[in-house]
Amino acid sequence: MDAENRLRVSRPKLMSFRLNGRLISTQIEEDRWTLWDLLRWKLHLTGTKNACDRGECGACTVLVDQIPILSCMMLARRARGKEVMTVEGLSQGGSLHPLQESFMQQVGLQCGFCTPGILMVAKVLLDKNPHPTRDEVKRAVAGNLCRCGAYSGILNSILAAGSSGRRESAKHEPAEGF
Amino acid sequence: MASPLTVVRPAEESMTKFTAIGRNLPKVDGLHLVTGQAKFTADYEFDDLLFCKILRSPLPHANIVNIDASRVRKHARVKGILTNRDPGSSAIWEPPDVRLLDNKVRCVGDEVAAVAATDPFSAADALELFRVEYQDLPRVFTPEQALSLGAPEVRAGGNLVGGKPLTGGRGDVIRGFEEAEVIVEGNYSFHGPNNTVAAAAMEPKAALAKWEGDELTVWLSTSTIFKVREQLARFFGLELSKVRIISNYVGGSFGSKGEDAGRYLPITAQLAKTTGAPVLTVLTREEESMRTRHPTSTYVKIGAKRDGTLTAIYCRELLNKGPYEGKIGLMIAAKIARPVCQLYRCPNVSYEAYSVYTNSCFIGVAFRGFGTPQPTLAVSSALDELAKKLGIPTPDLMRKVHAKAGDPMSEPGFDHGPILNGEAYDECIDAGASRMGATSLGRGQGMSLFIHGCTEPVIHASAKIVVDPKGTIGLHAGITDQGAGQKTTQAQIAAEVLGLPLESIEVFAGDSNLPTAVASVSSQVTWVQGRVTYAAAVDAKNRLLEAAGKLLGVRGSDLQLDGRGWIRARAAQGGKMTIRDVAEGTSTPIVGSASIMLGGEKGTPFSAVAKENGACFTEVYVDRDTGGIEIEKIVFAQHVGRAINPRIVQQQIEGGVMQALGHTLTEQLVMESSTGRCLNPNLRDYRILTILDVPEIEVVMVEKPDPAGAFGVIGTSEGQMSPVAPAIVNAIQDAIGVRLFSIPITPAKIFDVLGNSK
Ligand code: FES
Ligand code: FES
Repeated sequence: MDAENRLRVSRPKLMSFRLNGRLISTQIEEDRWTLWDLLRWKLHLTGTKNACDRGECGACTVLVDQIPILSCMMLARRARGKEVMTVEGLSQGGSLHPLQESFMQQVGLQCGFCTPGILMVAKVLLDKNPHPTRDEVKRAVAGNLCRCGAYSGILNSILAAGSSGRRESAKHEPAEGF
Repeated sequence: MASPLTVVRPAEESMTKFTAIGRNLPKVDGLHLVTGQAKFTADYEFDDLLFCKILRSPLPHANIVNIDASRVRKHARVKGILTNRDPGSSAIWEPPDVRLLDNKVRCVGDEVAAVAATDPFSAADALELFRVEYQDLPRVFTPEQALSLGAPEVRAGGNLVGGKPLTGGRGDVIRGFEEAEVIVEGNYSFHGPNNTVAAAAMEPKAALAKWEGDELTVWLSTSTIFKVREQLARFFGLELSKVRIISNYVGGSFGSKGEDAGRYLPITAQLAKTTGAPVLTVLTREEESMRTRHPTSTYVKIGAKRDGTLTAIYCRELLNKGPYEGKIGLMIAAKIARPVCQLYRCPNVSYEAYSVYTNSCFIGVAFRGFGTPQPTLAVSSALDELAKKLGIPTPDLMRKVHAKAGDPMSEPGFDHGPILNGEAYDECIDAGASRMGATSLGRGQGMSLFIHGCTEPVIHASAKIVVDPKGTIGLHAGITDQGAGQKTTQAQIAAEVLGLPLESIEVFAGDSNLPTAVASVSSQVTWVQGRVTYAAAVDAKNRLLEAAGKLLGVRGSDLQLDGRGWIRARAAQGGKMTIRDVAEGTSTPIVGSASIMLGGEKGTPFSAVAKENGACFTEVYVDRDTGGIEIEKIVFAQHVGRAINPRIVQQQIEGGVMQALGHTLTEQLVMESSTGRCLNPNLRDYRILTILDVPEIEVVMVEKPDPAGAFGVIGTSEGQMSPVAPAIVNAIQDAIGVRLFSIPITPAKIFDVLGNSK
């Protein structure tokens, strides 16, 4: 389709979905908008990062019905009626998610640009499997690129958050071997 | 990886005297980063914000005969257009011959035109509406071709950057080779001549420009805010004070976001000027892949006595520059001096480097390691070969030939040869060798030393510590933090001096309206900026005690800070008060400040410098049937002076090792030589390493305080880029008996050499 005509055929569409626990109604300005575009341009949530815009790095990961999804690869309208969670939704009610705590304490980041996507993937992992092994953690975040190479910090942070429930008793020391 | 923190510390040293230094404190900006509140450049919003996209050349070398923008102009959402026909594009950006938008394109991806539209999609659409007529020109892609007689001219003034090779050395290499009893030589290629590696920071480069009258503010993903300010002020003919650069959060840089980051920045500012609205440009991943490390070919020849004493080193390097950034290209080429003149003790050395303009789509710019990895690959590989010829284990030869404290550190820019403050090569070699142990069956081991930066040749650094009337302490300095933890480590230095917990220091950084700080390049923030932060904190502390003394009616020198926010008399009796009481009670604000100027015409000359130094050891397994290679273990031992925050230092080193490992094994941007375009400008076919690729990495931080660094610190963030590749090349040689002369090392390459050697 010619670049001049793209706008004419695309009509804004109204849509409702749950975002970070709240039901919202919003307008998708163009058919080609991805979920990331909707979050960024319409809902002004800037926490979800876009590093490649082509499904290759995991930075833009959000949860759609509790499943990690690359928001740069999902058309916005497919979120209709779904439950979407972004990094902004992790710390609702004023307290940080254990993963956020441990990424701070264990320094699971350098520049932090890959962090929001990794937090979302790790949340799903820990929800399903509160005490994952090293290999399970690595497999879970294998699709999230971190160019700073903060991988050992990422691994330790997720392991520490996973064991935080029993931290008192076990005095878990995660920083041993990769 | 993720081995327990290994810090090797001089026996007499006790860390108990420190409260903030040497501790794994959480980063000061961690909360904002884990909650998504941290504002990167692309996160700023304005109601009238316009989005810029850049039309780029499909051809490697061509004249632009005509640009028809009439259809673009009709697009309802396009608010601004910039082509080479517009007056705003005609000023020279890169002397002598490159205008902001030129009449000529010199590589695929070169800037041709730009639009600003009310949304990013419309801006991208509008690019399709341009009609550009090109007249093809002969193109040249390799330095060899570009230097040959009658080669097409890429830039006015010739293809050799600077008009002559960059040369240097000492002694008499011809005599040195005559004296030699053993000679080794070889030609090594770092992704040359045409392919290369990318910084590939996760945050794409971005700029948001906004004018108010004749004042320009730019939010920018950068590591050099003061240099960029100067650059833009010069380009737009403004006073420095009229330009402000803000860079609060940067999603990785690795050197790629400096003043050589590209013309997208002035284009954004120019469009903001013509449209009168704020304009944001965010580069695509494809655009992000255009500015890279220089691919090189390096010839090296080394002569030695039978006992391993070096008699001569000669090194010649050809760097493929692409068509732009010649000035920084020369600075990068100059780093050939590091492995040749600085890293090893040899009386006769000589080097020549040729930085060459070509029509390659890869424009060589600053990148972590800054020109040192390429010659280090050659020199360290050749020395390993020398050791084999001499029958001396490589670590033993290294112990004999490495530089020592007090040796001259000459290189272009530091021609007078400041001496090396200190090094810990022996400690690093010992730490590495003992941790590697004997080679396991069927494996091979290799190693390489390294040396790197810690300061630019000209430095202006300043910092302020402000005690506000509420008693909170602000550290003010225009540093940027692109993930290396600069904000946190500077705050730890201030906290230590003031005897306060880290949380009580608020860091104001990333803004050119703050005191001028060093650029976050050359791994110099801790070593150089740390000194002024330290001095400013001492100044603030003295002023605080002075003011408290006045209030308490005693001498300031009779008071001390107790580490918990109280000021107390040294003697048992005498008053006490909180910092807050003092701040509230005094009439004048308490501000500590410090600044230094080193090098250049105005600054104090460098007499001594710190350098990143250390050793990388690796063990590899090579599958002789498939050519597959496994990295079994890496021990990276680095002299860190003093680890201000050991976990942050360890992460810097691990991260550097991972990037260098990618460059050595899996990463390569490929230029198609028939068209001059990049075939894989993305993150899928350009394979950076994932968490599944992390081998066993043991980091050893050797503490041996540097006399000039605050608390003994030296920089640590770049050295890793140089020794990993040669350590692996040497390990493969050890494993299969064949030396590889080029990276990346792919299974196919190993398969080939194994086939040939049978
Ligand atoms: S930004 Fe979506 S996967 Fe990279
Ligand atoms: S922390 Fe920078 S990309 Fe992961």
